[in-house]
Amino acid sequence: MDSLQIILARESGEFEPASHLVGQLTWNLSKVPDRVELRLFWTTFGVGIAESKSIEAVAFERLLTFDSRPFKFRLPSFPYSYRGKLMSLSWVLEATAFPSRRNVRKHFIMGPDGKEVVLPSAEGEVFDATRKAA
Amino acid sequence: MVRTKPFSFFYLVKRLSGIAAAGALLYWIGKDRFESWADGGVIGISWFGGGLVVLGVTVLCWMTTQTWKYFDPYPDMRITPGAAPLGSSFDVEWSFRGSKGRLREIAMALEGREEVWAENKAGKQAQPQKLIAPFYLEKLDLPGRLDQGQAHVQLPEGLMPTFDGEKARIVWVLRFENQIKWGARMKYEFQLEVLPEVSNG
Repeated sequence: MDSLQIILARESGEFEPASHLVGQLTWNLSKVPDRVELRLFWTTFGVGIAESKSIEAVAFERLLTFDSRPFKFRLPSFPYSYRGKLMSLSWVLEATAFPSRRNVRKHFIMGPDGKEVVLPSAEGEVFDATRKAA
Repeated sequence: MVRTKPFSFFYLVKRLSGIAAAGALLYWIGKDRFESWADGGVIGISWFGGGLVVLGVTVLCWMTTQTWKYFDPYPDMRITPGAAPLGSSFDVEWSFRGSKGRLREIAMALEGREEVWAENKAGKQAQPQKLIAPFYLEKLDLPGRLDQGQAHVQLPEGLMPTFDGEKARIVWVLRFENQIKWGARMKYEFQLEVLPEVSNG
């Protein structure tokens, strides 16, 4: 059974902005892959149109069917992971083995103190707080 | 400094010219019809002439209401600094130009909101539509006079700073509204650049 796994050094999956994301990529495949790519990106999901942006990618070569490679990314300082009423933003590591294109994703949080920002709801009128001419 | 006056003096002159032209057209038709009535006792008017009268009155009314707006009081806003992190603050100064005596009420609020583009699946053709959900609304105290003043806008902590994605945005705005005598409520939005919080470590 083919397997591909991303293991983060920090098991909580919570990271501060601009910190290092360290881990291990392991796989056990029936055929030797040409290469395995690991991509860091953020993606949005929710009621709106999804959007994602790739930040960095590394490719591993000269591989075995059963192998393990360490990786280290420097996270950017922004955008934070957030959960809103309409959309949420999540950080993702995605590993893809070629040519089979077998892939696996690992979602993690990047935000102040390693926490996701949760957006509350707010309603109201500006003119509740009015000042009238004397 | 952001000026909110909707059109220039040159544009005002153009609109006044439009009013004069519409007025002249109505005067010319009216005078012609009056002379016709004086001569024959009948105010006959063709479909074309009637259409011109309707057009002239419409243009005259529309131009007059639009031109009137030039004399409304409009705020000039100065927001400093140009960008500030969450947890810090902005200073806002405003002053009104125009007929300040017509000012009746003003109000200001800091708003943070999500803006996303979503597929509108209701129609026959999928058209993207913008959805908005506010997550922060803080009404501001406005001490001093109505026609000019300054306010301190404190930014909250622990929320999202400005984020400018292609389909999803986090937007911070200063909402400013004023009610004037003989005019509609006027609403303005001034976008703020809110930066990530400065970490203590």
